[in-house]
Amino acid sequence: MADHPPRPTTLDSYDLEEVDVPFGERDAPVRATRITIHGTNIFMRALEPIVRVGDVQVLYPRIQPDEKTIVGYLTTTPPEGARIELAYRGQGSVAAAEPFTIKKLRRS
Amino acid sequence: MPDPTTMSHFPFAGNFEYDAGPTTVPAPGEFPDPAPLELKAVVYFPADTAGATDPSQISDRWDDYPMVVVVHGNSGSLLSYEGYNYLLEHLARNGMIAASIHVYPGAAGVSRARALFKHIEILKTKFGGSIDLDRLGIMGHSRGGEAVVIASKLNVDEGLGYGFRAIVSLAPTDQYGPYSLSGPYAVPYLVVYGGLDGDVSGSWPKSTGFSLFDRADPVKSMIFAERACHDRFNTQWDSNDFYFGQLTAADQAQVVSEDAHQKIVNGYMNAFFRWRLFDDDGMRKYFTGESIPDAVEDADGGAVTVDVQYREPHGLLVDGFANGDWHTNDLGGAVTSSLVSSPAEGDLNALDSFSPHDHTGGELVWSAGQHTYTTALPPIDDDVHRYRMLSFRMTQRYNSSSNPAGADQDFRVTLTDEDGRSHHVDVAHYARLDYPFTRGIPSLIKSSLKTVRIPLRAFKHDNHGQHDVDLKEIVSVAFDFGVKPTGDVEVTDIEFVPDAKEA
Repeated sequence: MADHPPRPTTLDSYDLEEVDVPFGERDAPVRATRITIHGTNIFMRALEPIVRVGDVQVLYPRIQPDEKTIVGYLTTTPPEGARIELAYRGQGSVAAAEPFTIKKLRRS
Repeated sequence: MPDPTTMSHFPFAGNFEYDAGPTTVPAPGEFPDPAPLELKAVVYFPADTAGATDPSQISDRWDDYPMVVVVHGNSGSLLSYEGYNYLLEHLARNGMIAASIHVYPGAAGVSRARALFKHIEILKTKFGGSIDLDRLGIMGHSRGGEAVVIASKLNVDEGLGYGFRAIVSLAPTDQYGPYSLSGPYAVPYLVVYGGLDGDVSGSWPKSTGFSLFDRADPVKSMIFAERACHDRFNTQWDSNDFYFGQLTAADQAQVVSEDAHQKIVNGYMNAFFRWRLFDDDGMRKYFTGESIPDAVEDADGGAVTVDVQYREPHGLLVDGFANGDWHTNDLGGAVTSSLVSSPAEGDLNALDSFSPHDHTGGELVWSAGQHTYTTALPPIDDDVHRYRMLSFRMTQRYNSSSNPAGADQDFRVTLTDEDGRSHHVDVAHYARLDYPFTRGIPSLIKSSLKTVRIPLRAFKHDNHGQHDVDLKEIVSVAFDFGVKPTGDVEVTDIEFVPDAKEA
């Protein structure tokens, strides 16, 4: 019996918000959709996380120190119903319970 | 020779923390750019009295001291930088100013590297002339282990002028580059990595310290501590990598204690910094594979086992298997074989998906009836008498039907001279060619090379009354695998090396 039983990652819900993001020090702000995914055991690891919504890669996904939240940016709108997935390279992915819908977008 | 794990030159280590406030560092390609940074660090220094907490209380025994700066890896903890106090104190007691810096959770490679430079400037103001700026070492763990490699590149590309003389990567990622300590960026390099790493586990090719090691120019060494994990090197991280799904319950039970992890770090890193920053050549033996620090060997009742890779400069490289044609070695000499199949040559990971390396190599498969491999030295390169060692890197191929699981391999190496005199030695006398270390998830098992070094004098002794082999006119190096009935090995960097004191 392991002293450290597995702590599976879950992605439970997400929020979408329209934001202007400065990608790069000299770059002008870019209109993007910030996606904030909520779950459990979203570990801050050495490996960079990979987040996809369908075939669209989430830019700069950043796990928060609470290890329950991951924040990233979309500059392309994924299709309705696409799966939201978190993975580490070479390892299996975890999908969010609810599929993507642009209807959740909060416009600023 | 004192054990670098337990030795101490100074009776006390003073320490303090500083917080110079928030700032930013440029981080092109990362987000956000610029990256926020809070200039916090913990610092230890050699002291003559207990309780020293101010840089002015640094020991006056020496005029100045080398300095080592540590950058941690990624974690949700804001106290990660305090997780190496055991190392900082040990380095301070051995004559080094040692600091560990804070970076924010989530920071990537470049911003971690640039944070190092910010802190070196602060430390210069605190210690003034007590720091010997030509004797700087940097050590990074995990993402930090890749950041120290990036730091060497930035130091050169931007003409920053820091006198890095030793770089150490502890369980590093290799995910932001590929970066390499080669060419103008080369600095003496040490990699320490655990065979039961639950985070940087090698889940995709060329993603660990093995590949960083391979791409670095010598002098360099890699300590593969088979039962070490990722997080137990940092006292703030507990054993969190056990939760990342890369270690089975049986793996977790094999991981050595936190105490053993600290002894690995203290022993090898103090030895490396002593070797490179103090020119203490007595420490080199720990990086050639000749010796293991006693306290490391005895940790957890002898449970710590290490495989060592070592390469030094100024050798005569006979074959790094880089030309794509197994019939010819890198010197242009002919290669002949009588093996089960023609030697395979190329990128090691392409030859064997279990190989963690970023290097070319050859694969040699033998049977009882077909078991010889001979590589010739062209006449222009046949004088090897000024070298002291024959060196090569080799591993059993994991999961090959030719290698009995769990069993050692052995073979004979023969040098032959122009007059037909030859002499052979058994490899098992110099290195153990054991089966690759296994772990519960098969895709994470590694056909990991280790360095075999055979003194050339071994080819001259006990020559059965015959004349010695003439090292001034060697015509070939041969491997005779007939010692064991079947086998399958990967090999590279067959070379004669000087075994130089000042490698």
